[in-house]
Amino acid sequence: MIATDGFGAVLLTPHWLWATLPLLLVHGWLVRRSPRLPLATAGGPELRLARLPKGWRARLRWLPWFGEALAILALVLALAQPVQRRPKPPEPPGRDLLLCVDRSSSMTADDLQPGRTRLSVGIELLGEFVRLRQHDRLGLVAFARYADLRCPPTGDHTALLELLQGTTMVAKDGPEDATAIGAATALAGAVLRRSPARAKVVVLVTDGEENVAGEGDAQSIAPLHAAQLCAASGVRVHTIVVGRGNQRADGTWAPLDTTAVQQLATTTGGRSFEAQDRQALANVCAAIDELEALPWAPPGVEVQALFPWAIAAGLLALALAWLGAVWLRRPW
Amino acid sequence: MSDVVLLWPAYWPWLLLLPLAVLPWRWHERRVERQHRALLGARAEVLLGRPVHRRRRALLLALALSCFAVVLLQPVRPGPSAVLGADVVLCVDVSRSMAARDVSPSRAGVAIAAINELAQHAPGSRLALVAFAGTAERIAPLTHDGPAIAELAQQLQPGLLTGGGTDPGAALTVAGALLRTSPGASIVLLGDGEDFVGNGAAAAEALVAAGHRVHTLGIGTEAGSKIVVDGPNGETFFRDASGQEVVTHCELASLQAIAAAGQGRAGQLVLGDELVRLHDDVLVPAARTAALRAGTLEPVPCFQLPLCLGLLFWMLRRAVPTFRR
Repeated sequence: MIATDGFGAVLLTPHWLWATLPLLLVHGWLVRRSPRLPLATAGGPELRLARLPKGWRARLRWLPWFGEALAILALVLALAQPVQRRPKPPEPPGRDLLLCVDRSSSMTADDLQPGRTRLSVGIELLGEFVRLRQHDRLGLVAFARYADLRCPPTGDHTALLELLQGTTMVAKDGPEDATAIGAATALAGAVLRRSPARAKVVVLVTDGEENVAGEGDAQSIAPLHAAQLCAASGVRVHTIVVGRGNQRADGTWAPLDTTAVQQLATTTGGRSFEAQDRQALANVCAAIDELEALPWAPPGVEVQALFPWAIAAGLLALALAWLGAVWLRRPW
Repeated sequence: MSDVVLLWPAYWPWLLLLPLAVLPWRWHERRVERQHRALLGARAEVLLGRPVHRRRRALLLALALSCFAVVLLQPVRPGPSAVLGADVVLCVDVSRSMAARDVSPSRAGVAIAAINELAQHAPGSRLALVAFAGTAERIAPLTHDGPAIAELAQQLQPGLLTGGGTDPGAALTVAGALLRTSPGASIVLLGDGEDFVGNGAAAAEALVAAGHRVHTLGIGTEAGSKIVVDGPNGETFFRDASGQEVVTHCELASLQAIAAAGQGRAGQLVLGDELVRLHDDVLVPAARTAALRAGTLEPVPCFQLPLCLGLLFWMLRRAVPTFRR
């Protein structure tokens, strides 16, 4: 049964079906107007002619007109746009997610995994995180004293992974060796502010404390200020503090003051995590992946047009009507 | 009507024969006339009338069949909710010759300004950036973030990449890697046309085989100018190994050859809006057509008008008298 809504075979413009009867009436009138040989009436009505036996051509003389009528029905059905609607698996809406990666020289410490720097372990685990976010657009901000947008939000995760793996640390004690958490967060927030995505998330990975904004530089941005900017733009920030802290000269570790980083997360509605070894960092990435689980999306609809078949049937009926006229030797 | 696209299904060559169906119909009409004359003799014209309007009926039949052929070519247009944009990779020449000032402020400056304008103007499109000189490097993958592209374009200064020379073929190869999940995308090569390796056209042909198109926009003048570089005493002109000041020209012929191999357009950045016009007039319509044919953009059928016309012509053919007494 053809319906006008829902799944299955439906008609998108069923009002065209009202044209069926008028078209068939016009066609019937035109058929009756067709030229016919007049009967011989010279003998008057009292002349009775014997009925001649009818052959197949006489019996089927209605065939061409019937074929035309079928063609009209098929073409009117095509105008009504029959389609086949099938449910399609849902496509969940993605997020725009920016990774902010600290590349100050302190990321050379190997407390996360012996023999590997904090940065390399972080890049490896963030790479696995990227591979899980198939429906999201991801970007990359790398920061030390200055924050650089390395990759705007993109669906090309392969390119992003290459850029992520190409992230290198700044020179130790060089002019760029500092940690500008506020500037990085503000840059990420500014990029995501213009994003049309419904959910915008920043994942900040650092091993230190903000030490740029406090220097009195007018262009520097404190983490709390950056958090307020992000919150106003609907950007959620999750922070990950990696490592045991700052290594002293005697090899011991001075714990970090993570207050600013925690405030950064809570102000924007995100969460703050700490990871002192590789497994803990992997657990944190998994936790963020669950926090940013994809929302439910309604199933889509796949529409397959059926009107080409109706048009082809109409033309086939016309072709058969013409062949019938040829066989019957009747004008058409 | 300008955004109506014909889907050209696989059976389309057979549709060219449809209007020729007038010929067998005409043969059948003559056959019936001969039959009437054979049956009725000289009285045929008296009883039936004189055959009239043959050509008119043949014309109406041909028009009806032509309309049906157009319907079977499946005319469609994008739906009202379709976001019309294109995937475009901008390959920008950052070789030393782009520091020439035969255009203001410099060839590189003109390229950056054109990219800025496109990035602000094309919110529905995805843009990517590739820089090339002797080698090629991806600056940004495909992204909807136009302002980010404009910001990253600021670093496309001459000397960005180490190593001399100009190899547009390498840029096209890197661009092709960025477009592996974007069929029917476009690459626009912005530069002065120098090609020291000579494989630009071959790389463009490879991209065409992958379903993309390569367009070129030349920057600079054919008369050329010297290359301004920073020296120990301020700005000076670049000299070659023999100490001669180098004059660089815009090689339009090379760019035209690459565009021809890439089945795209070759132009020149003169007024600054050529990139935007190329995007609006060529890249977006091509992307829309490719998306409609690939089924990634939901089409709205437009066959109703030609089908109604076909039915009308058919009925008119029936209504035209065959004989007149």
